[in-house]
Amino acid sequence: MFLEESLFYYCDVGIDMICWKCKESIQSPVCVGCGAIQPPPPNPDYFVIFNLPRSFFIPDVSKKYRALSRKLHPDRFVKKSAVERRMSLLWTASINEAKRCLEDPILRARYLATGSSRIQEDRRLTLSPEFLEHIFDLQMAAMESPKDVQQQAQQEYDQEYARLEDIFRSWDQDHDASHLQKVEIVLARLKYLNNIKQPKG
Amino acid sequence: MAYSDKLVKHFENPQNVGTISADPNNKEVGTGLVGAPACGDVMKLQLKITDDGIIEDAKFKTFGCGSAIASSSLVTEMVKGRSIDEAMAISNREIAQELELPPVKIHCSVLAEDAIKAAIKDYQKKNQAE
Repeated sequence: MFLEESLFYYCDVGIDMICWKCKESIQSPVCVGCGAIQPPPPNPDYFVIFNLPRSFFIPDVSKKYRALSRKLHPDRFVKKSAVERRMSLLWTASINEAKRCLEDPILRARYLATGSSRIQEDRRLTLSPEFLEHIFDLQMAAMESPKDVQQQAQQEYDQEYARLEDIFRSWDQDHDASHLQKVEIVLARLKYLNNIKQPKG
Repeated sequence: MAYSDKLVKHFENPQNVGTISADPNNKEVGTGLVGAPACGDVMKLQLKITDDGIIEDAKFKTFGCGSAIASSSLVTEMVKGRSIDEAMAISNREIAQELELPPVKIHCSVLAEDAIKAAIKDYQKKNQAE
């Protein structure tokens, strides 16, 4: 049964959804009655896809991912109609994107805080001048002694990451949106520090 | 993705790299330090401005991608000899067009524009206090 791995939005919407092919009511991406794959929701919630609570602290998703992707993989639909093959592709893309996002703590944090794993570039974040100054000084120092500075950046990264976990721990308790407002700044700081601890090129 | 010749030129041979003054209280020099949270780049731009409000010298130091370095290099060339008002009017679009920045790198030109504005504001702040 699908429900074991995934709640899916079919159960979420609270109305009777029926299979487009056999008109039976459906509760999973593949109709239990006739085996027809159902269209994926337009913006599937990644946590719903894996039937997980909305939290930063989630178990490994790879097992659920494998089970889902086996059931919805395009290979299973090669002999089906073009519509069903297309749906299988769309589902697979959704599942892959959901896995990619939930597996990566940075993407997962951003997804929880902003509703998207992508950075919204038009959102201007203001980091404190002191922090920028500090980053600049670290970058300058890294030209002299890269090893030491990388180590220091790693330490500061770990501290900042602990702060991220603290924010989400508080959020888990009361689900107050004000916690999430702090996330983007912390993610930005992590990005700056990451560039120093892992210099590009 | 191909970068324009102009961008590559500025990246491989950046103009005006360095610092004009290490003294933050130097009244002839405005310093703008800005960052792009999306990519973690930092850019420091210093402008030496005369009493008549003309930008005499510009130097930058950027830690970031090629487009960010090219944008700051270009900006130092653009602002030299201009008045404060003219420099304030430089938009990121001009920078992006000049370097033919791809859409994913537009934020580098935004950073350069922000750096000019921040440097001028710093200069004005230091000089209005008297």
